[in-house]
Amino acid sequence: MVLPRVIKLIHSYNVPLYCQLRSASRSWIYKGGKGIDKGKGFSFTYTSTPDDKRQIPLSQKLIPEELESMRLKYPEFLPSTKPEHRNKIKTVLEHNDMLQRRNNIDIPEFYVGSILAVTVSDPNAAGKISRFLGICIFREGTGLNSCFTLRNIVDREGIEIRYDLYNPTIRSIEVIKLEKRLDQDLRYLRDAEPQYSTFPLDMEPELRKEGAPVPVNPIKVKMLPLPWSIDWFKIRYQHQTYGIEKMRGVWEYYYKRSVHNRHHNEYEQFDLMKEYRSHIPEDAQLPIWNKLSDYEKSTSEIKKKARRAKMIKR
Amino acid sequence: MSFPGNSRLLNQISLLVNYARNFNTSQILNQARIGTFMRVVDNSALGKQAMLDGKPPKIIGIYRKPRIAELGTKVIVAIKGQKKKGVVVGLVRLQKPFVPRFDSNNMVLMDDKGNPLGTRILVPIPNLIRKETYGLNKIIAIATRFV
Repeated sequence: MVLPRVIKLIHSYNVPLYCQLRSASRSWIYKGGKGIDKGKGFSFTYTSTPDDKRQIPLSQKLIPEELESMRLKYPEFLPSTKPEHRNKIKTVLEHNDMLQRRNNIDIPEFYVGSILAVTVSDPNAAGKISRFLGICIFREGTGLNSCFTLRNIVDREGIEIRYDLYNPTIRSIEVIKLEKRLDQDLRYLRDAEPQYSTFPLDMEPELRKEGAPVPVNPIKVKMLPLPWSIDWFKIRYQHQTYGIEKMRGVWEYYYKRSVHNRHHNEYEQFDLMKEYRSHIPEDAQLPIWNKLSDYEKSTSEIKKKARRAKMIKR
Repeated sequence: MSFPGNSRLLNQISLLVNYARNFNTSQILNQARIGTFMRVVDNSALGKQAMLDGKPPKIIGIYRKPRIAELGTKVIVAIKGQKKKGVVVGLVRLQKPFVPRFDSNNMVLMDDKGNPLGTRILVPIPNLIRKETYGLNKIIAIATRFV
């Protein structure tokens, strides 16, 4: 698709300040070697003028660098991407409830691809407690509705369990291995070879330095032959599936068929209001991250002590 | 038929054919209902033989008013030309939070009195089945692992 140059120029110049977004969803995209993209709403290639001569500098940052990782650490604190589901009062009330829950239970930071063990009080289970260990393949939902799914293969049978993150029946969430993967949605492990989702249920937690950066596991998964249960190349929120090993005879085009990239017409991707509605601007994000960082500072010492006590008990 | 030197092209064609064969405009129904093929997960001779032959049991009746099998519902299946009863023990469909979702539709074979045909269940079964109202104590007794 070749677009007239005029549209691109308009797009770059006439952007009002409040519309310069650093989207939450775009930051998921992994660019090989570069890491997370640094706050560029639009790429610089649209204009020929240098940065100094621009009326509005494109790389304006409202969020300081310390708080940049917060939106990946606490994705459930962001309001919904659907504007019709957003409600300011509801989000404030929910955030208070979530922080209150975090006082009672230690909810650690984890990402899609890290290995977790969750113990739940279950009236049907023997001893009224059930524990499950697996790889986190998906995180969804916002606020109190946020949940995550664990997957493991036990006795040659693939099992997935979805957990509500803020459900009071959860007793503890342990991080066995803190890791990131290339994709934000690992549900394609259902149709991958079983070795990629088998973990022993008595796996021991990996020791990790405090404050160390979270490693990215660049593993590429070998898939089972077609047919699959779903076309896994069509994953939401991503332009491409990076974690699937390239298969023989499949064209390059198939790896890039995401739902995120689809447009009804060729001008839709330049609809500013559509992008504004579907993303959360920095102005709305900043107060949330400020509140969370204050909460972190006030409770960090207490939580450190609790974690040390747990380690000694083992 | 042979096309020398065009093995890559042939591969692509076969992939495309595979795509076309599985192309569907409607979403996949993961429900277990009348007509779905199940997987026997106990060590009964009948079930083992049926799975080895590649002729898995087919649901022909469900003891539940909306005829959609859920975890712990009793079903009638056609297996190797016989009519047998069984219990659904694992499902592929999307479940509520804290309830496991399995990679295959599993079932355990029973006779008419509710006694299991096998002596052991080879895969984990959900904790939900232990509910007293389900009345499946004989099947819980031969299970090896709960999830």
